Amino acid sequence: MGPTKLLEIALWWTGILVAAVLFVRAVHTGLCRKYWLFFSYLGWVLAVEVVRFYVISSDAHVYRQFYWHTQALSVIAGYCVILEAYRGVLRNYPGAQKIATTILLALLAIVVGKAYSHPFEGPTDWLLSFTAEVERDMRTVQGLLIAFLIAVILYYSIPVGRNLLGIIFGYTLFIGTNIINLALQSSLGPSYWTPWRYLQSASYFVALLIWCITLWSPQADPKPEAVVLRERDYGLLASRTSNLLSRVRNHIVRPFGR
Amino acid sequence: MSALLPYLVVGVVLLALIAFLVRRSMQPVLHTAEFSGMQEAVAALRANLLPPELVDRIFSREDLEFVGSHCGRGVVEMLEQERMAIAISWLLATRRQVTKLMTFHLTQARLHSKIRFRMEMGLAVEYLSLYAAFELFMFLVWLRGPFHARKMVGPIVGMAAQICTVYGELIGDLEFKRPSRTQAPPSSARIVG
Repeated sequence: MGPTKLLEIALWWTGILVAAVLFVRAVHTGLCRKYWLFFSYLGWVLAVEVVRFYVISSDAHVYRQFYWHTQALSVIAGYCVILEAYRGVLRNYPGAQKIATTILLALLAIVVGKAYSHPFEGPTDWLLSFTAEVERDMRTVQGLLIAFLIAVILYYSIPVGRNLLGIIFGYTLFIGTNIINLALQSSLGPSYWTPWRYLQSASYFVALLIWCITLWSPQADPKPEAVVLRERDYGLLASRTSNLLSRVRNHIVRPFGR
Repeated sequence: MSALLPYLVVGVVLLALIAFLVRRSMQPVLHTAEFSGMQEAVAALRANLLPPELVDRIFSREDLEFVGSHCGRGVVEMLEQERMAIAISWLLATRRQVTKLMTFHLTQARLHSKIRFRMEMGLAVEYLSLYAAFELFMFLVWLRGPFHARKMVGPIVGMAAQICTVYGELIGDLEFKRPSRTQAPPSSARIVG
């Protein structure tokens, strides 16, 4: 067994160990109940990693097929993390939640419409033909969903607690590097197979470390402001700000038109 | 390669966004939603308003011509650089206060369940295009020099004054309610509920 193979196995087992420690710790601190969607995902990935190790040790030929089948389910489980992030970030902000939900429903309608124009041959066929290209596309959808959430957080200046920020940070880092990695793998083919494997493992390992640090102990979520405008005054503020911005823009742009 | 590009862009944008979010979360939390934040922003914007005579003087071509007729090229360049620095820093300060007022609106809007989607989207477009206009204006000041920007400065002063007037009136018209925690009331707002 070469040193690279040893490194791969060491990374694999360390990842399993870190995930297991985080899981046990979260059960102990109660974070497992609070972020149950995220920990369902983590529990699934942990179980899959252990079974994968068993499969590759007993029959390496079966492993490739087994990998892609379980990977398809892991990618779907990844949507739990995104749901958790949306739920946690927007829970106390009904205004931002309404805007985000409306836009997401519109996006969903576009995706469903597109899927209808290129229908799958069936769930079983789709699962069997799950490859790096399909994973890349599904990860890209996840990436766009997270990017939209981050844009909402930044635009509405929503404060995010350390625990939730850790979940978002780790998963975004993992998804971002994965999209780039899978795109390169699809484009470069078998020559990129080995770097792809290492980068995949390394990015997940880094995400695990981030989760371990940020989810080690429960942190209080920031509370919304104490002083809030009345509903009718929000309307007043919105309409006046809108008129104002429009006039301001015209003021600035007008001289350039002369 | 062209098929690869969109994925690389999504990946890189995602990593940049998360880096930006983490960096922002390390900064101290600003409670901009509080009423005093709005009052401060209006006051700061008022303070940034320069009298028309002063604006005329800063961007006056007469100064440039006077210096040009008595001094060498080096002094003229120094004058241009100094005036440009003044123009840019003033623009940045004005933009910062407009952003602060917009932040006040957004930090209030995010809490309201009866938020108006179309109005908010319109507002977002207005705000982002205003931001782009500021950027363009600063670029033109940098490109053409401050003395060519004289006629563009007047509207900026006008719009800043308009913002002060509108928000000044608005402060008196707004009513606030307190959902749960007890906190010292904002200095001049009416708190009900």
